Amino acid sequence: MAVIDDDFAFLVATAERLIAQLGVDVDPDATYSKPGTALARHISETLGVIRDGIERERQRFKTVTSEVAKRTLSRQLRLYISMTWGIHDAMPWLERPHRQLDLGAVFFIDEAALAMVGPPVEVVPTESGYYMYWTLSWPFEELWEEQLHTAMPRGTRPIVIAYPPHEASSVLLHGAFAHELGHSAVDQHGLRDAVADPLLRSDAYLDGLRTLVKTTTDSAASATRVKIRELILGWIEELLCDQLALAYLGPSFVLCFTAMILPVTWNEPQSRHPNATMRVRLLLASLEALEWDDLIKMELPEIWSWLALAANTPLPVSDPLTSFVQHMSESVEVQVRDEAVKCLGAGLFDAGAYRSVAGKLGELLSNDILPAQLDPSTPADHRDIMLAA
Amino acid sequence: MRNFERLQGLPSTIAAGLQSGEVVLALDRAMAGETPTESERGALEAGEALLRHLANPEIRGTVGRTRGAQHLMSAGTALDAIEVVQAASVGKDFNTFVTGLADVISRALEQGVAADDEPALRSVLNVFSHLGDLELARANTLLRTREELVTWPSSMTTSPS
Repeated sequence: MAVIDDDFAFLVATAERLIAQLGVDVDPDATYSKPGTALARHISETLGVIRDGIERERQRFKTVTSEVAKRTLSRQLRLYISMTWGIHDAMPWLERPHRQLDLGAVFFIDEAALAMVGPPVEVVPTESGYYMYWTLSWPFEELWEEQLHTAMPRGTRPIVIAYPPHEASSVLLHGAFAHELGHSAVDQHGLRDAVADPLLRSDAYLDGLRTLVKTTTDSAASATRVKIRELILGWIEELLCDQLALAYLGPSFVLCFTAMILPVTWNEPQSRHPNATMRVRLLLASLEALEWDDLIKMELPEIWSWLALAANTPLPVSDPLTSFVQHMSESVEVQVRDEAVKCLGAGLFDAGAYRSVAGKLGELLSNDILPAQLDPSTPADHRDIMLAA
Repeated sequence: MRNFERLQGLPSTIAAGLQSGEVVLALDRAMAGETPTESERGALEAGEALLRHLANPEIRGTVGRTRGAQHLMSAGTALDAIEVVQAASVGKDFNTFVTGLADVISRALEQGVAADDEPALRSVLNVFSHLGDLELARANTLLRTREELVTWPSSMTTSPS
């Protein structure tokens, strides 16, 4: 037993050293240049709660006698220590990016975050370092609550949003941020469960599953069912993000999305994302539902035809499992769109309102005049400018 | 492994590992004759919810909605748990075995630990101990390498009836 005790003491000392070392660079009282204050606080508070957890395990270790309990408490400490290693990944987000977004792009993302997620939010732009846009919000949230016996403070929501460094000034691709912010909106408003829970309880899903997966009760069947459920949840979240982005940005998102995605993928399904052609199909359906389609058909007829080609492309294989996942995800198309529109509320990008300013914006842009305002007293909506451009 | 992918999976894996440990610690005390505290009851209920989830992945009862249970029922951890339970149930029907483990936790929560249930409770303890080991190993994999958390399920396990 003495060796186990020594091992535990070593782990406590190691954890305390790691936390102290990180604490040097994450001081919540230090003056951070915005953005990053809320993120720094979240990291600092997470370190604090890990420290509390380690102290709690240290106290428990004094009271337990069984070898099982002592070994388990040692493993708990190793898990905490692994988390402190992981926190190192978040530290660069507190630094200023080498290739920064333009100020207008930062304002645009802030506006989108406020409309989609709601205040208070803090958007932290960072370089992804590779060709990918991604987002993480409350990155250490999972560690809180029951494990650490404390509730996470719900102040300003930090949203880390990353972009390919060499696309920092590619404004017309920044519509991708709206999809990424969608993930925070889905989390904030519980949208995925609102759509997925009724589906996963439905006869259509359960009957389809029984037909698809062998009726045996072996572990392989259970594993397949877990994976199918996870795939559908992941696909529904991505579809929600698409629809939230479209509801906020209108056709700009569809053009941005297809310009980025269709050059690298077409109708093949992926583990975390639905096939692109299915996503295009649902986006075009929403353009029609929200009365944007006539505008695109008129202004960009060739592009509309290309998008229609994508939308009408079926899956490349007839694998029943893939077809089932696609069918189930598509079956909630209306619910996904309705949840996105409801979530946006007054922030929904209105096609009629755009049409009322489109002519003036187009005239200014075609003469290379920055359309900062439409008349002496009315600033142009960033979304109007992006779409007109 | 990129920082985004790592931090997308790491906190939930750590949380699931910690939760597995809580189940082990609660069972260890219960089998020593101690009355479970409220926190220990929560851990045991989360463990029971995971085992029932493995038998019926589509069903989420009220117990399964606690945060601790949701950590354990996340896809990566649930798949690890299936692996662990499968290893413990060689030669037995998986669903019957895993439901039996859930039932024995339920009885321990309602009536305390009966002598007849001790072997089964020992199996539950071993399952969650091994699951904690797997989550620690997965956390280290996430920290060091690239890993696809949920692979595309093989068509070989399906039946196109």
